[in-house]
Amino acid sequence: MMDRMSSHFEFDGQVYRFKFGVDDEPASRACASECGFFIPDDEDEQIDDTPISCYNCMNRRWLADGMECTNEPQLWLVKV
Amino acid sequence: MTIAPLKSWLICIDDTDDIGTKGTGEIAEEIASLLSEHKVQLCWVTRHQLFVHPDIPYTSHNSAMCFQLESRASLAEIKQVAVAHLLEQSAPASDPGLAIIALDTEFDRQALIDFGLATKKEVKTKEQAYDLAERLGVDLTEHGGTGQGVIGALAGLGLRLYGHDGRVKGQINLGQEECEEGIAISVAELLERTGLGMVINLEGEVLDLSETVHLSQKVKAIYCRHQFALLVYQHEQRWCNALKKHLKAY
Repeated sequence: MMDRMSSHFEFDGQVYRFKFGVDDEPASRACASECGFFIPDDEDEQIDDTPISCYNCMNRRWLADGMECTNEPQLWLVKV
Repeated sequence: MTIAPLKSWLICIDDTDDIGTKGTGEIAEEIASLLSEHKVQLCWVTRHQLFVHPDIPYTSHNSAMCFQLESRASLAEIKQVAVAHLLEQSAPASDPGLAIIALDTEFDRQALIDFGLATKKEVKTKEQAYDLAERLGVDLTEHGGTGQGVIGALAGLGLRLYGHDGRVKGQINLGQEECEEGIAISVAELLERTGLGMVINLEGEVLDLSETVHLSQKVKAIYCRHQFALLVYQHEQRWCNALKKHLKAY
């Protein structure tokens, strides 16, 4: 879990931000495939043609300049 | 007994959901269905992306959902149905807004369009939304929480009026989802079977009725040039339905 955290998301002081921006589908898919908390969002809100992708997850939240995972704090707690 | 004239309405809702609850698009579709006098009536819901900014409270993507209705019902009757359903279906933590306007009336369309376009790139306030709604004769109301959804609801009306914004909720299935290699269909047949207005490529060129389109997997429509349209791209020397990455811009 910690590996996934450090390799795909980082805490920027406010949110757990996806390190690879909003256009890196391979990274988004790789991250979601390792995540036990992935939940598909409404199909109309999905933007990646591969279903299992953080970009398609109900727990992601779009930012003005990126994407955050709203589940990350829970993942940290699980790890601790 | 006189029969009320058929009137055209635009109805938009925003901020009705929360993580894990029924989406705003689904609620909009349900309201459209409840209000449709004829079950065959096409009430396609369009999804309009709004500004994402730290000062704007949104669940995860900040989009509004809008549909056009042809109805003999009065504003009061339409609103009663819409509000009842919003109150029943909206998430407890949401801030729903509802905007309704009669398209047959005279109002400053450009002002509403300008508000919609501005709401895609800047932060707007409830006060600004209510002021404009009052000036234009839009019925704008909030139905729980902070009522912040009125901003998106009003903006959604403007963006639908603009005619070049939004994806259509749901998918089109002409059999391609059951066929691994997809299906080939002429533009003419596709338009006839779906009710779409045109097929358009990424460069904005409209495909001729005689052209062939290859459909596969999930097929979604967009709202463009005031029509419901299928977006296609060139792949392996044939026209294919747009991928999600292409649709993202709408």
